[in-house]
Amino acid sequence: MTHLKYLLLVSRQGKIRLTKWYAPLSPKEKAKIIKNLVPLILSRKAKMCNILEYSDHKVAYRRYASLYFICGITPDVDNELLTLEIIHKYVETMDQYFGNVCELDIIYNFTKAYDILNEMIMCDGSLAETSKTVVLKDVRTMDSMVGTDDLNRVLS
Amino acid sequence: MSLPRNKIIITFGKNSKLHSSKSQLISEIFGSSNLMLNKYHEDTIDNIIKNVKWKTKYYEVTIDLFIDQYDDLLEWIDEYTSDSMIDLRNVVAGIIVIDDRPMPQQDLMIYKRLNDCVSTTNSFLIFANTSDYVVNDSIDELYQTLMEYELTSVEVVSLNSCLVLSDQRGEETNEFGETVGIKRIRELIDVHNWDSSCNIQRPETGTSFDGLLAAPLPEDPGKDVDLENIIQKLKQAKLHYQTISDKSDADAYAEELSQELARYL
Repeated sequence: MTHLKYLLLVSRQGKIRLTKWYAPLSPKEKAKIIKNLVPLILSRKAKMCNILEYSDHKVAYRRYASLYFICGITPDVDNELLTLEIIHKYVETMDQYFGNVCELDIIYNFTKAYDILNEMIMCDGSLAETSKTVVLKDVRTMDSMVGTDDLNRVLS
Repeated sequence: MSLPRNKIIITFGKNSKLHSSKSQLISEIFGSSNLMLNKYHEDTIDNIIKNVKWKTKYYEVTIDLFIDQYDDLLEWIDEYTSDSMIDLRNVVAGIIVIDDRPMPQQDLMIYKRLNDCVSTTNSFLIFANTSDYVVNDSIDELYQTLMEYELTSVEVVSLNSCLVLSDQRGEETNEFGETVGIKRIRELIDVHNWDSSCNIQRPETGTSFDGLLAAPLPEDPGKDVDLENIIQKLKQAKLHYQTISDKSDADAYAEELSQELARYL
């Protein structure tokens, strides 16, 4: 089982590209996590462990190119290595959807990045779908429905 | 009316190994087709190259390049941050400093000053180090130091593998799959949050209605029609429709499109 508390996507300059909160946190708490955690992770050396303790929970992170994927997890409930695998699966899925995903794709298609994440992880932070194929199929179905709506609008 | 924040300053240190090949480096970053290099005189300082098109797959923006050089970086920073330069700072989208600093870890004070240049404005600052001693591993270490001091506005790029500005390049990504060298500089400009005053445009999809449907579809509507092709064209038409700002033009376009489609139904 996995119950993520949050997932943050941060650039190497510390710019937040995506945030998803799965635990009920106040805006103040969210801001505090971002303010403290992001510099902490960005300043870690490449060979340091990808799992660390922060406040009352653990954090697993992984770097892909200039982006850091950071997950807050519940101790004793979540498996850290499984969390790293979830991050990897998310990146792989985005990579396949966008075709060699880069930071620019996420900036200009952040809704798609959220859609993919929502297909994979439920609103309580538990894993909903592990199959890349199924996630992509669902997201593409959504795309075609949006496309049809737009087309209907054009033709009406 | 305020001026667009679309100027990029590229400033070369006198020690930079790329000092003598400025135009080549600039054309590598910004695309030679964009720059009229024959009109660009290498030995002239304070050059201005106007109306350079910066294109990504998501947007297109017109920028101006200001080429500068300095003897002492701290003096240059002092001048740039002085009150007399406020008008310039208000239109600068980013600064690219190209210099040769063999021991970047010892230049913390310079990075602090550079960070101050852009930290209060929505501008980027790229420090491109041409030193042979600076490799990507040391850049990563430097980054960690910069993060500790919260100097997040400065991006450091190693250009030592690009000293020979030809096909003989080093690897283009590091162990994390992150682009390095000139490609990294391009990527940083790509992801810059351009000011709304910059007249950012979506790239042309290349789909005007003329020939959009007529050419690939058979003349005889009774023949088999490539449905996938039609759907693809309709998607392009949809994008084109969304770019038409004038409502009557958009309606006319939709009307024409629907009539064309009706021929095949």
